[in-house]
Amino acid sequence: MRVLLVEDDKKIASFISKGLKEAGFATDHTEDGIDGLHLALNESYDAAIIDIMLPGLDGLSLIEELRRKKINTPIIVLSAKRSVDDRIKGLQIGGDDYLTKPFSFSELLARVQALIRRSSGVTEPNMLEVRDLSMNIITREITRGDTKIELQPREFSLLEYLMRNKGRVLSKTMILEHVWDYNFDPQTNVVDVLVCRLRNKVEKEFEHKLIHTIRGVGYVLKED
Amino acid sequence: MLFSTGYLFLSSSLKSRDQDSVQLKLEELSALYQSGGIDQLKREISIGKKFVEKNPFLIRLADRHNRTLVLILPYQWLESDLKKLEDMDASEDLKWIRLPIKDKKYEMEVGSVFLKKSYILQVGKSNEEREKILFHFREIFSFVTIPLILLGFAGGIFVAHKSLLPVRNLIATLRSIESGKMNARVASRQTDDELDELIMLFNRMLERIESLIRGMRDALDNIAHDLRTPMTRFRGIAERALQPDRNGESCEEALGTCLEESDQILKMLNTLMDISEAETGTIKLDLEVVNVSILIDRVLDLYRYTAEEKGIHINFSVQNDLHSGIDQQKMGQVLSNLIDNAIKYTPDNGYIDIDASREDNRVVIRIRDSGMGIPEEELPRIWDRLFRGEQAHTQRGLGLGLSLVKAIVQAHKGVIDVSSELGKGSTFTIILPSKN
Repeated sequence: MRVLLVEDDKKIASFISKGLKEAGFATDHTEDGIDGLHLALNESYDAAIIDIMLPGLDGLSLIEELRRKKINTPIIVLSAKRSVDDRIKGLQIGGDDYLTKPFSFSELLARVQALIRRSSGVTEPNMLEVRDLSMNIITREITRGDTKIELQPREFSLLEYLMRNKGRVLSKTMILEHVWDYNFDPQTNVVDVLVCRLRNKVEKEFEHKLIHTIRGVGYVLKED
Repeated sequence: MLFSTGYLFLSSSLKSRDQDSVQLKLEELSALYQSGGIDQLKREISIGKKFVEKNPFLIRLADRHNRTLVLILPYQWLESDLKKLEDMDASEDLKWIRLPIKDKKYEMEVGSVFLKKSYILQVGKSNEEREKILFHFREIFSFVTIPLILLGFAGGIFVAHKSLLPVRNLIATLRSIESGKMNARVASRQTDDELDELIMLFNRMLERIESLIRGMRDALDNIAHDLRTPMTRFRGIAERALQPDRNGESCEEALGTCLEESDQILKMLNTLMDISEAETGTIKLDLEVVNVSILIDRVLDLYRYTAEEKGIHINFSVQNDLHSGIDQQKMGQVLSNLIDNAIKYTPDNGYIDIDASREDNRVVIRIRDSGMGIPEEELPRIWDRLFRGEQAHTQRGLGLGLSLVKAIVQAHKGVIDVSSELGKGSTFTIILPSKN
């Protein structure tokens, strides 16, 4: 897996590059928009992470140019602006996802992986299994061991999201976006409440904990 | 212009009058010569010699070789140089010659004719008189016209100066603003004309700019101030973690806290920015006609489980077809803040009533909780930034929620009000224009 990173802040670029390498990605990094465009046009990448404010050529123009040249690499837009307008603009011109600085690396990684999975066209399985927990997407049946578990729609949606991304940390923002289709932070603990309810139903009676809290980042469903 | 035309006209008419009189004299003398011959002419000229003072003419009679036969000169012309006359060629037609008079500014204009190709007759007249008149004319000009012109110029300058005074005031005000004096204003002239209106509009614009800048400066001060506390906490945690006696586990713990603190700071910064934007009017509202019922439903959906966990029952009643021009996302924030508060401060198994209706063509949304209520002395302060009431300290929160709520509602040209009874609950009422 190969990722293009166009980001002019050296420190941010360095921690993204290192993190991606640890996660098994090869990363090409450039600080300049024009170089970035050049690389994206001539090399083949599985995903690109592009900052909006760049020297040479700004990120939005870069993405526009790529899309005009029919390069369909999935792109995550990084921005220091968090207004809804900027987000909409970033997505309209051809960005596939939008992340506001400061962000957690885990979230960036999860989003990159989700994008690559989506664009690779792998059909999502209808049966999800993590250890003794299994979920049938069609019949909406959930069992842990021999026990049947009843979940309400939002709880089901969260569990499905966690299971599809097992081993990956999901931030509260990502959960809000996925479960409620909310793309702003309502500044509440509704995600914590939902996770708490889900834990009660999925873990309380069982010895092995599946859902783990990663402080300051979010939640992850772990197999081991 | 008028003067120079008049002057030219006057001088040419005076000149032709002089020439006419010389010509007349020439004709008179020629006629005498025709009738009485040269002797008669000589006699006549000689008679004139006796009245030389009265005779304004120079008369010279010469033979065909231009040798002087008779010469009459007015006495004041004695100095004239007659050489020029003697050098003149004889010719049949009338010829004019100018003769300068020594030491005087005047000249003599001499007309000359050839009498039957045997005698030359020359009659001259000084232009003294003419020059005197013209001199007077010039004098009048310099005494009357020049001051008049100067006066005109001065008057013009004065009028222009006076009518441009407000414009210059405007420029001066602009200059002082450029040098940082934001409260400078242009004084109104109370004349009710276009210029006065311009000044008024200009002042109004300055007013608006000043209030915007002041608002932004205050907001920046507030943000800087409000961020100091969490930054201090953040720093303290990191510093403690770096103490030599700390082990790996407690470092991990500290790092986790740092992450949480940084999220908290970010959240605070975002909220403060939102409040400032809304308060200074720089907020960009994405207004669309929204079904209020759907909007509230969407927010409630977020809190369903939270309320359920506490056993709180939410009653929601809304009038059908209730619409308002709203920025969905921002009004969603308002409602979610208020509902979040209501749930937080309502004890287990309490209730929350939400109703929305149209009253006097306005949309009224009421959120009533059965919580602990707000003490009367705290009521006016709940909208203040970072104010947290006595009871609020048991709950997590930034103390910014209600400031944001108020700022967004006001940005929508709406009103928000609160009433509360200790121990019974509080009611927040949002009143929005039916269609923005």
